[in-house]
Amino acid sequence: MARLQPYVQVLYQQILNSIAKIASFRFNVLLNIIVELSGFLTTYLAARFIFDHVDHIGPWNRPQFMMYIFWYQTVMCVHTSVIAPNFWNFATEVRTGSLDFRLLRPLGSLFDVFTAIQRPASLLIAPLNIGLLIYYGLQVKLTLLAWILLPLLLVMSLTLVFLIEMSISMSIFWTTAGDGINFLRMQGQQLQKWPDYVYPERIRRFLSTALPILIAITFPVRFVIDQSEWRGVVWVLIAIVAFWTMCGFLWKQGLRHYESASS
Amino acid sequence: MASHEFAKWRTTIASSLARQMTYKVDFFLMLIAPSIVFVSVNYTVWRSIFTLRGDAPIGGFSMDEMLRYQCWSLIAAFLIRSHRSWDLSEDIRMGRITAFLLYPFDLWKFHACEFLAFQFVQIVMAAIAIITMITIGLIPLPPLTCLIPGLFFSLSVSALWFLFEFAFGLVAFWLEETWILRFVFNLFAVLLSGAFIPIELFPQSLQAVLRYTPFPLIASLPVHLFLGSNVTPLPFAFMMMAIWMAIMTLASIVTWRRGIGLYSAAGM
Repeated sequence: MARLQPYVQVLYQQILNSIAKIASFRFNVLLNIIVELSGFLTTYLAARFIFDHVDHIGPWNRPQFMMYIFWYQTVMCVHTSVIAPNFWNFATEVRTGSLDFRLLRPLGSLFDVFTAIQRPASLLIAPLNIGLLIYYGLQVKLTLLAWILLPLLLVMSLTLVFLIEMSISMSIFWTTAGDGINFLRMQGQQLQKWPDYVYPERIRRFLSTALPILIAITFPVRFVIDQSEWRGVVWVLIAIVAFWTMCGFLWKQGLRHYESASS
Repeated sequence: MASHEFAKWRTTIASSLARQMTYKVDFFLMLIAPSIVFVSVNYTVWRSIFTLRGDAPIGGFSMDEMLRYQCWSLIAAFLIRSHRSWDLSEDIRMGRITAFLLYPFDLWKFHACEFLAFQFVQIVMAAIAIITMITIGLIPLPPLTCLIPGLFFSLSVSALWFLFEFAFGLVAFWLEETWILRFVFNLFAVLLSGAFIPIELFPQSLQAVLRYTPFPLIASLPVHLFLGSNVTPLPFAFMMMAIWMAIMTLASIVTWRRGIGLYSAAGM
């Protein structure tokens, strides 16, 4: 616990700094909210237009599918505000050599690199996403157990998405295409917008095992809809442990390869 | 005089092309891969929706028609909405446009050359994509009466897209984060242009409003031209394109004139 304390204190200060920053640049906050609202609106409208013409998409009816959509939106909302800016910053720091300063700090470098920048303005739209997630959860008639486990499963989804993206971004150490890698990482988010069953068998198998981006959202949602699907949650837990280990390994290997350009 | 100007354009296009091709991985990952992934996901999603409901038509579209629509949507994306004005925003923010205020070649001309160089690559990419899709049987060989109007229209609309991008880039005189405008416009452009869901599946009232916006020009109309299923009168489509080009040109001129007054050449 004592080992964790400095991390909690640093994180607390970083959150305070980011709040102070958004208080100083209010127009940027407004623009960030517009971005989030636009993302929310276009996703909602796309689903709505499709459901104007169909009753089901695969095994899921409209409320079940919309619950999936807002599960994804909730996870991505937190991701955008807390995690995403750090991926872009990481690419810049590796390219310019300014990663050195983080490596010198008396704190776990990996923690510092991926928590340094936050954009809390995006979180302002979280209540809208969570509200609609709860609304469609009520329509689906989730069980008490599902409601109790829902926050934990959301955290699991977010954790797996983060770890997979982090392991992808480690390749920045070996390539000069930092921004390109970030675009590649974002393509994974495009794939996650839809549940795994819409993909052909081979692609689904690959993206559920080797690079399990499809399971991060689909499996927890499937479990809250039908608790007999608990194996999926176990699979997500295994994936979290595996990618946690892999990120640590890749980070060490990456640092050996890091040339500290221009420093 | 004209040949001198032409030489400047040709040299700038050649140097832009060389620069864009220097970082091939970045170029592929940032500009080509997103379109391929986006359309591949759309193709897969629509195929799945049709298959899971026994291939019953949706809003008048059979499965084959919808899948071909998605394939041509990729071609339209390559030809029309791939160009980005990232460099312009950064150059303004970093004070690098000062050089263009001194060069005998305007900033807009330089970016137009960048765009033309980019379009050259995109035409090659589109040609490769068409040949690949025909070869693996995703689309039938299109008749020239569909292909030529589709290509001509797409390349014309790409000029409108460039004007949008250029205007968004110029907003960097006021805003640090111009990506936000571009991102929001892209989100709505993807949805409302019919790049993913054909406009025919939208509510009637929304379809009526969209006729007067630039969105259908960006995907729906060129895709229907490629497919030979266009019902929008072409004179009306070209008129809308001309109107929006005039609006965006005017917006760019006004933005430039006002913005340059604020320009402090930061970082120089």
